[in-house]
Amino acid sequence: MSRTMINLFTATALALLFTACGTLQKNQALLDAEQSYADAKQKEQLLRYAPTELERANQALTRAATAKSEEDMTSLAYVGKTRIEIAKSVAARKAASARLTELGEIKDKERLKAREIEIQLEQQAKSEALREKEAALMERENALAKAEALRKELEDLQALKTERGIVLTLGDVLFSTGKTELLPGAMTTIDKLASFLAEYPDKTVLVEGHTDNVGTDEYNQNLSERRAISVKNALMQAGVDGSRIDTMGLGETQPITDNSTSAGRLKNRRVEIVIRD
Amino acid sequence: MMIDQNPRLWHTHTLPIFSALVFTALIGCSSTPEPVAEMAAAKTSLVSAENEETTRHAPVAIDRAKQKLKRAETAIAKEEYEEAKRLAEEAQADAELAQAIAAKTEAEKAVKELENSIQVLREEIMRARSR
Repeated sequence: MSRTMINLFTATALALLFTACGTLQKNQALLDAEQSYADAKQKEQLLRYAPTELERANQALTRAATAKSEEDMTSLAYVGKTRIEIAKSVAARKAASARLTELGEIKDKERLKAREIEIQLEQQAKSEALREKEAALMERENALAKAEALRKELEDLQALKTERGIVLTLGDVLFSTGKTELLPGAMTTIDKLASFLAEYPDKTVLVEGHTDNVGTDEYNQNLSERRAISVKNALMQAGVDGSRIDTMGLGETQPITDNSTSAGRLKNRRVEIVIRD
Repeated sequence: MMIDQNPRLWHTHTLPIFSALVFTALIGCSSTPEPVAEMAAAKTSLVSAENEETTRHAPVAIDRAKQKLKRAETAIAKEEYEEAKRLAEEAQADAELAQAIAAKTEAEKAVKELENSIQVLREEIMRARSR
């Protein structure tokens, strides 16, 4: 091998070694891209969601730093910068996906809440219906009880059910002979009747006076009227509104039994109180 | 510059070194072959990125990718492989960016929609409660 050849060989080797492809100074595009990368590395979301994309950006920038030409450097800086943008979008997309999962759970919870409220409302409606039904039932029971109480009270008053209504008879013994004032013994019956009327405010009464056939018709008519009024007065004193009480004197016109015996006459001298609805 | 620091070599091997430099310059330190892989990658990325969503959400990026791929093909035809390689790599990045932007936008839209539907649900619950 000639000396020249050896020289040439050595020189070539050296040239290849030294020139390599020359390390260019970083241009503005690369500096900008490196700054973007440094900023991106600070962002937690990017590190968490787009590490691969960031690494690819890093690779492009590393290649840019050792680029053999200005054009390559600028191009690789562009690629690096674009990959940083990709990383940002990818991270944002993944963050949005994570948020979607979260929101999905929130929505499920809200749906559950809505369903619970729906059920609650349904139950409310149901229990309200039940309450109404119970109230109706109670009302019916009350009405029945009231009717029963009425029956009892009237029974206490020794009232009779007749075609004219419920008839209560105050016997002659409650009046002094020929007088119109009620004897104290009558007051128990009057008080009972008054409290009965207080309890059933929609009922009115007709007070009828009756006599036997002793004495003139006129006298008996008059006596029967005054006795009826006397009963009305007693009821009013016991608290019953006068407008609910009608009076009528019937004299001896309506005997309930034979006037020929004293027992019969005793029965015919009476005041009848008709309780009307 | 290395040569300057090495006067002995400079002195004795002027001609060989000069030849070496010429040789190096001729072959270029980067005799770039046709960037087949880069072109293929760019095309693949563009194909998967070209769709309705990227057109709607990332029109600039997708358009850039298309233009660059076109220019890369022109460069290939002219055998300007370095230029073609650069353009292909940029086109690929642009296409991927378009896709990432579109996907991000869609995801954010879905978040908005879900948030809205939750809001509606909450309002319904409020109304039901006040009944």
